[in-house]
Amino acid sequence: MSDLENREVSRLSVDSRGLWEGCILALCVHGVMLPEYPFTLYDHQWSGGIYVTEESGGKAALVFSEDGSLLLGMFCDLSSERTGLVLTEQYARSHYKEAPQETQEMAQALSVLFEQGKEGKRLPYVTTGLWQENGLICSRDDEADWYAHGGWMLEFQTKPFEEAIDHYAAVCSMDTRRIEIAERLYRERIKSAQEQVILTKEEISALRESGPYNMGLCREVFEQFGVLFEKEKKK
Amino acid sequence: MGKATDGAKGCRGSSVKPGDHKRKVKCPCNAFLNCSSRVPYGGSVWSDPVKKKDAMSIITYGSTGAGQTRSYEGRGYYKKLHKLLDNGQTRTLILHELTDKYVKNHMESLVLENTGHYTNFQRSMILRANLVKNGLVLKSDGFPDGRDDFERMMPYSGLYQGDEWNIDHVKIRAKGGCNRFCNAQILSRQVNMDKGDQGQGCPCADARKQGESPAPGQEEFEVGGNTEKTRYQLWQCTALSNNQEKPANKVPSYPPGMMKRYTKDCKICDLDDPCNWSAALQRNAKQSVMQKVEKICK
Repeated sequence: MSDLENREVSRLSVDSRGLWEGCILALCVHGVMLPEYPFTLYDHQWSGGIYVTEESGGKAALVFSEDGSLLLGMFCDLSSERTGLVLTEQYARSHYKEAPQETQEMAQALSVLFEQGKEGKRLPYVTTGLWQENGLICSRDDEADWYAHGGWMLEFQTKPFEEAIDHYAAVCSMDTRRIEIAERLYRERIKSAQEQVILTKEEISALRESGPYNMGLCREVFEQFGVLFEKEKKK
Repeated sequence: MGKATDGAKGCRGSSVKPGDHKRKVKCPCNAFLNCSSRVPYGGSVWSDPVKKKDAMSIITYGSTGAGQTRSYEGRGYYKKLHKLLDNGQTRTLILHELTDKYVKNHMESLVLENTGHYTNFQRSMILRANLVKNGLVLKSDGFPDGRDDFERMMPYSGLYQGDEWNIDHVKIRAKGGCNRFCNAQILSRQVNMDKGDQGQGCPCADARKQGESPAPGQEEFEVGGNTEKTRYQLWQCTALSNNQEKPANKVPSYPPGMMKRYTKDCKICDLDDPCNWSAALQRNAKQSVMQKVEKICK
């Protein structure tokens, strides 16, 4: 049925903590640019430790534990050569075949985010996956295949801060002030996985100038990953 | 000084550089000529004063999420996923008012690259143009074989459904397709998925699968982004790489579509600015006529 059936489990050289930090940076950048570009709303999302990123080439979802360790990753690469295989539940499950039972259940739940309709049915469209087991990041794909079939979507989440921010500055059309705000939030937020960071009134004002009509959306998105507007500091 | 040719040295040893906004090299390749004369996305809107005014104004566009009709278990991981599924929420998309200065500044700071992503600013220009062109209904630009049935699309739905919009690279990005406006189109995800990476990339690049050997004499096609781990390795087009016998004044020293070889402030095609496309077209046509007149006079 699939080219994954007889593959060995491979260990990927993904830095779990570094990836979590990279996702937080992507979310900080996304939050500061959202007032100006509200149509980017679903480019990056965070809910209860689940990070989802979408771009024109596909979608990736990562599940992190409460301490920020990577537990699971699911990827849909729209240009993958596996396109002809993916729309079956059996195939979606096969990416996690050797994983612990709990991981497989988690993957089954996460796959609802990847459903596509075909001939009246909705089935998960997944092209590669990974999971954490005993502190190691594992996949049914080797490093090259994992990257080629979806891992590339995390290219900038896995880069060091300086390299990633240069990319975001260009692609997200960021100005100096918003780069500064994103960096400040990022530095504060990564101190611990449960850290809450306050966006100051002055920073809120700077964001409002760039897009006054979408501040509600902006607040909603920031709150998802622990960044609160100054007035609303929770005690 | 004699006629300047690409790669030639000036009389005092310095390189001869044509002015900005003009292609530095002539390429005999029809595919490149077709590529370099394409209309930038939104050119008809951004070059028309009335439509431009509409596109630069505040645009409010209501979107209804398509809704997830299935009910998921309200426990464990499903509970966490609930927010991400955005069950049919109606949202309002508000694009703020633009000024000429804003557009000009962003246009000037654009970094154009082979395999480059469209920036937020570019996406905004493309989205506004599409909305204005279609009476504030976002519509797909379709796909050549007419497979696109999704005429009406949402700015965002939050669901991974076929009718979500996204900006597609007409010339495949992984195969060297660039992030110029002329290479953009709005497609539904379903159509984009069907398209995959089938089709042509940058006409100046020969995309070969990783590990495949290049043709004899082929040099690497350098791009701005990191492509070392992608599915394709890009090589300079076969015609240029192997065409050593053609006269030097007809064959450029590197493919004209290889944007990394141009200085940052040099636009390889002045037609790619959607706001000035019409004026540039008229200017180019005038220059072309003038050149012909001069030739006849001589």
